[in-house]
Amino acid sequence: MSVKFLCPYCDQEFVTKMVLGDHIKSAHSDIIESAKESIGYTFCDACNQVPYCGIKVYVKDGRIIRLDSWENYPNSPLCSKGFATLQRQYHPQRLGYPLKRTTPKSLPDPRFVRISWEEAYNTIVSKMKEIREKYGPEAVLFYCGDPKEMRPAVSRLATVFGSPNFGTESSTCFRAAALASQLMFGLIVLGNPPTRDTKTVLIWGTNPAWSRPFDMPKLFDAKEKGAMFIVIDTRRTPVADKLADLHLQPRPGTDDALALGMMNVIIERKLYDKEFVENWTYGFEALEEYVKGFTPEKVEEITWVPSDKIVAAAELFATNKPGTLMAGVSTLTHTTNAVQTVRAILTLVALTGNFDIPGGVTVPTYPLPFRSHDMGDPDFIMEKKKIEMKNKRVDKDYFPVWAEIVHEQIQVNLLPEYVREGKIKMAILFGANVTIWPQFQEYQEALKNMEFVVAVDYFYRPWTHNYVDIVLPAATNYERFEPFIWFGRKIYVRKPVVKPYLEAKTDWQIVFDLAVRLGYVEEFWGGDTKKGLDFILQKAGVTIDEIPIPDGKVIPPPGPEEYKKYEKGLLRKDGKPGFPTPTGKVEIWSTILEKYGYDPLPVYKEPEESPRSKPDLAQRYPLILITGSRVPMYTHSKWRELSWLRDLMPYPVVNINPEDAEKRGIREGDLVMVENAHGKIRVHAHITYLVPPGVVDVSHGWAMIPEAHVNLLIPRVFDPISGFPTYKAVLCEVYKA
Amino acid sequence: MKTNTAEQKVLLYDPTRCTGCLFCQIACSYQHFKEIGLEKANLHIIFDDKTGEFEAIYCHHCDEPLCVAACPNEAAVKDEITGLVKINPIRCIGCKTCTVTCPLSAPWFNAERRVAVKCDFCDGDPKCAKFCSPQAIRVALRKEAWEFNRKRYLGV
Repeated sequence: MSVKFLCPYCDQEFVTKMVLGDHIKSAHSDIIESAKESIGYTFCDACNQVPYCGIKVYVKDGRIIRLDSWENYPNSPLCSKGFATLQRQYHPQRLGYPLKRTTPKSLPDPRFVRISWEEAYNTIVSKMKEIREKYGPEAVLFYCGDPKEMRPAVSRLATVFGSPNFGTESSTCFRAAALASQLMFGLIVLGNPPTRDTKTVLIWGTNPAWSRPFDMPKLFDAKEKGAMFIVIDTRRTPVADKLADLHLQPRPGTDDALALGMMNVIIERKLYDKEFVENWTYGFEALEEYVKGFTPEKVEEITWVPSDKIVAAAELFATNKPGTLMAGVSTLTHTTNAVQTVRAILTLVALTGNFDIPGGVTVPTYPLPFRSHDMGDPDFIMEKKKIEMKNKRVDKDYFPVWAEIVHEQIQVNLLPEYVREGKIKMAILFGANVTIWPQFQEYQEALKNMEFVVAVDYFYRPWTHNYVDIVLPAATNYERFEPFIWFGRKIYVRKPVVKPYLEAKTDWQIVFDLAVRLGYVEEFWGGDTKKGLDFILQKAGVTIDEIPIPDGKVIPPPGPEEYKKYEKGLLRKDGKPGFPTPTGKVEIWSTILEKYGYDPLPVYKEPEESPRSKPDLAQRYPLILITGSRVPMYTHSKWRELSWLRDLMPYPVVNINPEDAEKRGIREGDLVMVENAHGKIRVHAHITYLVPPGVVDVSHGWAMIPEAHVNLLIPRVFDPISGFPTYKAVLCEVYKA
Repeated sequence: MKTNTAEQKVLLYDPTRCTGCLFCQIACSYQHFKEIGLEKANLHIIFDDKTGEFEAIYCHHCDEPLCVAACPNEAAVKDEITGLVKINPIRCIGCKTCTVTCPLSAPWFNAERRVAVKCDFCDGDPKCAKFCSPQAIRVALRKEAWEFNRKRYLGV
């Protein structure tokens, strides 16, 4: 019997494989052509919102088969998180259909059933209208978590709907540092990586090796060119190990005292920039008087940093100019003195005259007219209308400074209080995770007690979604084009590379669809998200279709880059020289804080819980707990669903110094209890020199292992100015489980 | 044409730039096994937590490779033209001789495929170097690598 070979496309028979091959090549060339790989480009949403690392995507038969770095793109290469987005894309547990709860929220089992998009939209819209009628539009909270790409659209919907209560997870991350900077400079200045001219780099509470790896080449290059590095970090991070000429390890939560100690040295020895201080700062005399108490010896007592190191660091930063600052935005603010700590560090920049000089801490002269911190532009999110509605903000009595300065979002950390007082009745959550907050049970309770809650997400996450009424599936970065992004003056856009998974929709589309159904057809361009993006882009004079993929488009600046912009009147809207603050100067003495009854100077305040403020408690719980620090394979609580990443770090750990571990009889990998006055958790011990003796560092974001969630140990104590929780300075004790 | 060995491209590891993120190992395992796993990588970063010392184990594509000399079935071969040392998985009998004879144990035994696996230089574009942000591991000429490592280990 002879073997026959059948053509899979036309059932013709052939005697040999070779003849069949020739036949397919000649007769079915179109099929072969379509099965070839095609290349697409997108940017990663695994960290978000700053990196936007570029991904080159190889697609075959409508399926992504391989990922690579986008060449000639500012932020690359890809990291483990970027690669893992491929597993996320085809994960069997991804949400594919809208879901509706069928049991009352008082019952633990939600019993979700699949519904159509039409039903989901109609339910949400009728609920929104009902709440607006009963309690007013401000009773609806709009919230964006992570990834943050839907922020402008959701913010616009909130304004149009009439609710100023739009909040984001920046309530625990970036915004307090930005607020501190706005109080001082009137601008958001949090430092930048070194340039060619930089001679000293002050890295304070950040570890770019693990959080911004694409910045590392700049740092190593600066080091090779002879720049001096001062690293201030409690932990012995890779950045401290590899770069630091001076490594200062303050006790967690005492960075404010350390900055004041450095100022004391700089002022006592007259090392400050007299010209800048005299002409461009407000309140220097008061500061001079205040820092007299912070001698290096006194600061050593507070911060555990040797006094000679404090003197050396201060002298180096003040004399070896120009110097730049790279400050961690959410390390320094996770204490009960958040805003003042950042203000103290920024005062150092002002005193040394390192602001806006080549190689120093600069702001771009001609930035594109979009804002990076809320990824939009004030006109798109209708900021003017938000300011008009200021009186309806739920946070205005709790955090008046935040309510005055931060126009675009509210402080959501007091959600349980807002709900308890009956101010918030409904919430629309995009990518929300309630376990980011300390004592998160109260936030779950708050969701339960609201009349109606909608969540939009990639995955079903029970710790949040068990308390909501409707869950909608979102499309990933491979399936959407919104929004565009920019680096400096270069704009990049993307195209969807594959079709959305099952019935998933892009979050911008969900917002636009809801808006149209609510009757805001004109404000939302009839539901066309592309026109919405074009509205933002018109300020740069381009449309989305004019920007080529993958090259991007540079919008040429109107003039050359300038320095000392405060002298030339380039910082203020009215064109006068100076800074956009009430006094027109750098406000070391903040007139806004003074107005609201807070301490106007960047003062030192011991953390709520510390060996100095609560010595009795410290006897029972002698270790200082820090949490929220980054690891290379995860960004905070994201992507724990992905086994690719879980293989790299399968469970949360408590990093403990060998000295502390030996005292407690703990060995590597042991199960240990971490306990304090607020709760206790069980995690594995990792013995490491990363943390100094007396400090332990517990991994965060492990909601999928409920008994190991570190936020159970964090009290609900907040910074009075910004409302930031104290993730980085509480007391605890570790013992073998 | 046989390449001049001094002009051959090899990997060069600079421990002063390494931050221990292990993205090189991840990129390597993704390239060769389409998954992310630290074990399935052809190079390994080892570090001492206490002293902060870093070292990388990776194939140097030696001039006179011991793995090639030891292979009983001529599976490990040094390419005359490119200078790369590769293991042919079809000829490999899984005897593990190369993993023992290599002074660095650069070839390793993959239990799933039951063959020895080692760095193939990603055919000229090593993914470990491509995905290393601080450029701690990079592609360099062998003469540069000689000079660098002489300075590093011997101080001259």
